[in-house]
Amino acid sequence: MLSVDDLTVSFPTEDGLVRAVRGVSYEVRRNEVFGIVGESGCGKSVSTMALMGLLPKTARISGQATYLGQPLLGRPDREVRQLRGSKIAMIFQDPMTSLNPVYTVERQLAEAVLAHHRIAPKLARERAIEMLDLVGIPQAKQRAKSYPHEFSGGMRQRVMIAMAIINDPDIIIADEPTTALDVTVQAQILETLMDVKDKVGAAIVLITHDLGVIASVADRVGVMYAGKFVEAASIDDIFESTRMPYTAGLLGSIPDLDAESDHLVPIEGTPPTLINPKPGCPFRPRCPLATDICATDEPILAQSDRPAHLVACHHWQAVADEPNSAALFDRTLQAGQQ
Amino acid sequence: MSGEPLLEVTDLVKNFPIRGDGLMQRVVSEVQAVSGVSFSINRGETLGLVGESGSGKSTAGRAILRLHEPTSGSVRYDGREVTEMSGKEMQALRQQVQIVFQDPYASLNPKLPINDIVGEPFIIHSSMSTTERKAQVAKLLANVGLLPEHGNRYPHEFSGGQRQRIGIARAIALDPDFIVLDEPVSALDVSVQAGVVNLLRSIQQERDIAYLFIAHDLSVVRHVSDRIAVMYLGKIVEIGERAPLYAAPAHPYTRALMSAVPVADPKRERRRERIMLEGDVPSPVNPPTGCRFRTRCWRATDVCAEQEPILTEYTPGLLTACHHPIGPDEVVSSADVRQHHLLA
Repeated sequence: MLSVDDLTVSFPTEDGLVRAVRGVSYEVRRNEVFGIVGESGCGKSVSTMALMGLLPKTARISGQATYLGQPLLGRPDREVRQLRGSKIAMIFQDPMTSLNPVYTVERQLAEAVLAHHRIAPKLARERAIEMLDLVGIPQAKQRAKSYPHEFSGGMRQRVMIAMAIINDPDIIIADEPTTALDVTVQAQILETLMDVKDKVGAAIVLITHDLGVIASVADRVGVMYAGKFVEAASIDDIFESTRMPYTAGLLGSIPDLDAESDHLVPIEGTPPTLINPKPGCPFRPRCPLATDICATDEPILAQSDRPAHLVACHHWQAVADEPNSAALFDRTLQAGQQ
Repeated sequence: MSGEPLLEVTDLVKNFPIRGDGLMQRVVSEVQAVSGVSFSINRGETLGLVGESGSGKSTAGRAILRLHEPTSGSVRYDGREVTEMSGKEMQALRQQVQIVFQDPYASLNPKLPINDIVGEPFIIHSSMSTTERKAQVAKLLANVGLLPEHGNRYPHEFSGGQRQRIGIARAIALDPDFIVLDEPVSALDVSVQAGVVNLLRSIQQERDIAYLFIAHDLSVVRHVSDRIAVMYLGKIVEIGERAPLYAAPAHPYTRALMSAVPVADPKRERRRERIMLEGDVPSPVNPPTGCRFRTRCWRATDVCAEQEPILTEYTPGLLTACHHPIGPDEVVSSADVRQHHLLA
């Protein structure tokens, strides 16, 4: 459905070129949920905004991206707009800023239909109500006449999902769709999102920092660090057969809801600056397995010992040999204290 | 542990008036943010206070310190009534009681170097010489894992995790006995959050500080708390020891809340029974009668609308405010809950 090949995005700033995305490649198949997970500043949002032509003009974008064989990058705005909101839809974190406060929800949804289809406004409004009903808004017909501020955060996010699916998209890009919501509402919204995905037969690219959300809904996942994927695999593989030290560290740092432990294991240090990045592996300064080669050669994303499991690390074998990979970070911590 | 708790909060109420548009700005109604909350914290202990947005957890934390003046109720700290203290007494109290806020970007003055931010409590509360103060600040920075040379830098030069460490250094400067931690790690990435959580725990062990740890993340709260209170719409619905509360909460809301948290383990996720709550949290301006959770509860009956449930020990170590508590061995299936919602 969607194929991204060696995408790079840079932003010129006063301090130099910020290399936000440094070569990202992935494919999304029909009906699957592909997760992109990473911490603040890893480039996960920028990489998808680039596909949708939503970055400022100053952004320098290179690489290839195709939707059903049609190129997405480097096309005139008018053509990208035709795809955006119809075949490829987006859902953002904050529904309040993505909805127009002065129009009713019905009008905004109907406009989304009319932007891409020549049909009678009345039919568009009917479609709007049908979608609101589909995403679980009670009394959709009456509620459609309301303004965004009259909805709660969870209901607004449902409106955003309704808008995303109204033109029957093939791909929905959901950028932190539940981050601003409480957990009980998050559970409702994720369920709704999975439900409508099956109904309209779309694939979802889910961008999040929350590995719990990934574990509950994604089929495959790419882990981003410093503008690149450092590991990509099925979710079972990522969580149970981790091959990249960064992923292992992330998983190890999360406190477990179902168990108590004496201490958590952080990843020491901070992500590198993306202005003139140093040569070698970007995770090297924080990595317990780093050796000399990591300082000179940046590892490329390549096949590991497992099928369809890619990893960018010189020492993935050492991670594979360690039954409890999160313990790698624990040991360095203890050594550091002695 | 001595008999008297360090902090004892009884029937704490905080209402925020909503004023009309007219010339007189008359109070037309009230947001009932905290509606009769009682709990105590012992020396060196951590009470986790959890709840979703609008539950009143942050307001409760601030009302204790009188950052919001309580509407009614009693807050006793070390045997003395905080709500009746004079300005001078409050200033003295603020040496022993500190707060760390969620947003490390907003709670540090961007125009001051770290030395001044962390050293400010000494200027306000002591007559320490400049050299002595500098030495103290260097020591505090080392305590929170920063270097002495960081003292000359400004807040914008630090990452979120480092800023939170600076906030913690400032909070422990005067060697307090009690700190309100208001979502201290919510704005941080998980890999950084773990380090700050560890720091808070080691500081607590070294200095025997009591914490009120306010958070929405149940996993973090489990990790740091001795006891936990769960708030919903201005009330504590369940409070108790960590082990029984996480093993088998008796309150339907706590059960639903815990089941909603996604865990970072796909195999466990597939097995989990997720209880889906219907609808949204009602408005705190006009909360439901009786049990405030009843409008979203799948076990609610007529009695829930008529009588407010009081905190009662149904499971050992756990106080639950519910007319229909869930037994410790009772399994709630998501299908049953769904069935109930469909019938309703």
